[in-house]
Amino acid sequence: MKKNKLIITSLISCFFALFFVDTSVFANERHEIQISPSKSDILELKSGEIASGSFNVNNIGTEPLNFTITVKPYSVVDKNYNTNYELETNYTKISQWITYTTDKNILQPGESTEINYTITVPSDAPAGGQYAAIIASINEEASGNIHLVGSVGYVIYAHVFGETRTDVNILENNIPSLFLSSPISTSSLVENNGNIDMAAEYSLEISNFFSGQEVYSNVMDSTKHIVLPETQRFATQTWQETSPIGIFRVKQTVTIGIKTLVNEKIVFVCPIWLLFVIFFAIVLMITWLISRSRARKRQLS
Amino acid sequence: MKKLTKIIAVTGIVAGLGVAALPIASHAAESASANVTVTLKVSDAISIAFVDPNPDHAGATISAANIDLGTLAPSTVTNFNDGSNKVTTLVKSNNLSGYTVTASGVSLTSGSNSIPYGAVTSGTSAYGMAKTNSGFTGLTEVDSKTAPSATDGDRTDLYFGASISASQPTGTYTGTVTITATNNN
Repeated sequence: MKKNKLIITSLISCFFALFFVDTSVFANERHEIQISPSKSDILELKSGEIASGSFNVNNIGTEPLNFTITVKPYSVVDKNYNTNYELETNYTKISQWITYTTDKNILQPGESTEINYTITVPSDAPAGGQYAAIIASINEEASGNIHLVGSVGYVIYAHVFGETRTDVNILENNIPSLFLSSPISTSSLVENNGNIDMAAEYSLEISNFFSGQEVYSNVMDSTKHIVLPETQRFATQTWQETSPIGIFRVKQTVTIGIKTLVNEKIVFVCPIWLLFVIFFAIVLMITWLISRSRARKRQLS
Repeated sequence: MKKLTKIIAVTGIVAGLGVAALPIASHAAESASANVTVTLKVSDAISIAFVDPNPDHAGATISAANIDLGTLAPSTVTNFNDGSNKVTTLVKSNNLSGYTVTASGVSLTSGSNSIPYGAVTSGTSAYGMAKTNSGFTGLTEVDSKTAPSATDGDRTDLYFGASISASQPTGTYTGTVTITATNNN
C-alpha cells in the first residue's frame, strides 16, 4: 500500500514537472529574422561596371532559422510611400542585374551570415536612379490553407552615371492654425519629376508666442527623406512634447534640390473644453451687454 | 670669479629652459589625462516574427504562421468569432525614419482551380485579410511608421476570411501570403 502511494506520488510529480518544463520551453521559443544594415548607401554605378556590397542576416530568435534570399524590384505606390516589390519600372531594372552568394541558409540562434551581392551593370543601362530589394524570408514548412511568410528587405539605392534630369517641386507646406489636442504636427508634399532620387530636408522651429523663447528646433538635426524619381512624397513633422494649452509661433522649412519653401504661422493649442468655456464666456458677456443696454434704455424712457 | 659667472650663467640658462618647458610638460601631462572620446556606430536593422496566436503560448513567436480556414460550403462566408483566424506580426526597427510593412498574397489553388486574394463578399470566391475581424480584402498595406519601433517591437493583428461562390469546385485550396518589412529612407 505504502509502495503504491509512493509510485502514484512520483507519477504525479513527474507529470507536473514535465508540464511546467514543456510550457517554459515553448514560452521562450522565438523565431525571428533580422537584417543589418537594412539599406545600401547610394551606389554610384557606370555602364559595364561591376559593383558589390554585403549585409548580414541574423537569427535573433531562440530556434534554428531556415531562410531564403530573393531579389525584387523596389518601388512605391502612393504619396505615403507604401512599397511594392512586384511592379517593374524603368527604375527597377537593377533587380535583374543583382546576383548574391551566401555560405549558409540555416542559422543557429544568435548566428549571423553575410550575404554578398554583386551588381553587373549592362552597357545599355539607363542613366538615373535604380532601386531593388534583396529579400530575406523565413523558410518553414507550410500547413493549413494559408501559409504566412515573414520577410525583411535590404533596399539598394543606385545611380547610373549618364544624363540625369532633376525637376523637383514643393507642392504643400502645411501648418494648421488650431490643434484641439497636442502634439503640434505639420505636413508637406514634395514631388520629383526627374529621373534620379533627390533628398528632401525638413526642419521645424517652434517658439513661445509670448516670450519668443524657442521651445523646439530640429534645425541642427533635420529630417531627411529620399524622394524617388517620378513620385510625390508626403511627410509629417511632430513636436511630441507639445503642452496641452498654448500659443506658439511655428516655422516649417522644406528643401528639395535648389528649392526651399518656408511657412510660418501662429498656432493655437486649445482643448475642445476650453473652446466651449471661451464660447460660453463670450455668449454670457454679449447677453450681459444687451441686458445692460436694455436696462439703460428703460431708465431713459 | 669668471668660472663662477659661467656656472651661474649655465645654471640660469638651464633653469630658464626648465621654466620655459614647464607649460609644455604641464600640457603634456594634461593631454595624458584628457578624456577619451569613444565612438560607436549603431547600424540600422529590421526584424520580423509572427506572434503565436495561441493564448496558451503567450510571448512565444512562430516563424511561419499557418492559417486553416476550415471547410466552407458554396455561397457562404467564413465566420470566426474565436480569433482562430488571427495572426500577429511583430516588427522591430531602430531606423529613425521608421519602416513600412506590406503584404502580398497569391491565389489559393487546388489543382487548376483557384480562389483569388481580394475582397471577401458573399456570392464570390475570394480570401482576404483585415486588421479587424471583418471587411476582409486584398490588404497590401499592413503597417507604416515614421519613427523607430517600440523597444519590444510593434505588433499588428491580421485576420483572415474567405467567401466561396456557388460554382467553386470542391478541393483543398492552399496559398501563401508574404509579409515584408523594410526600413524607410
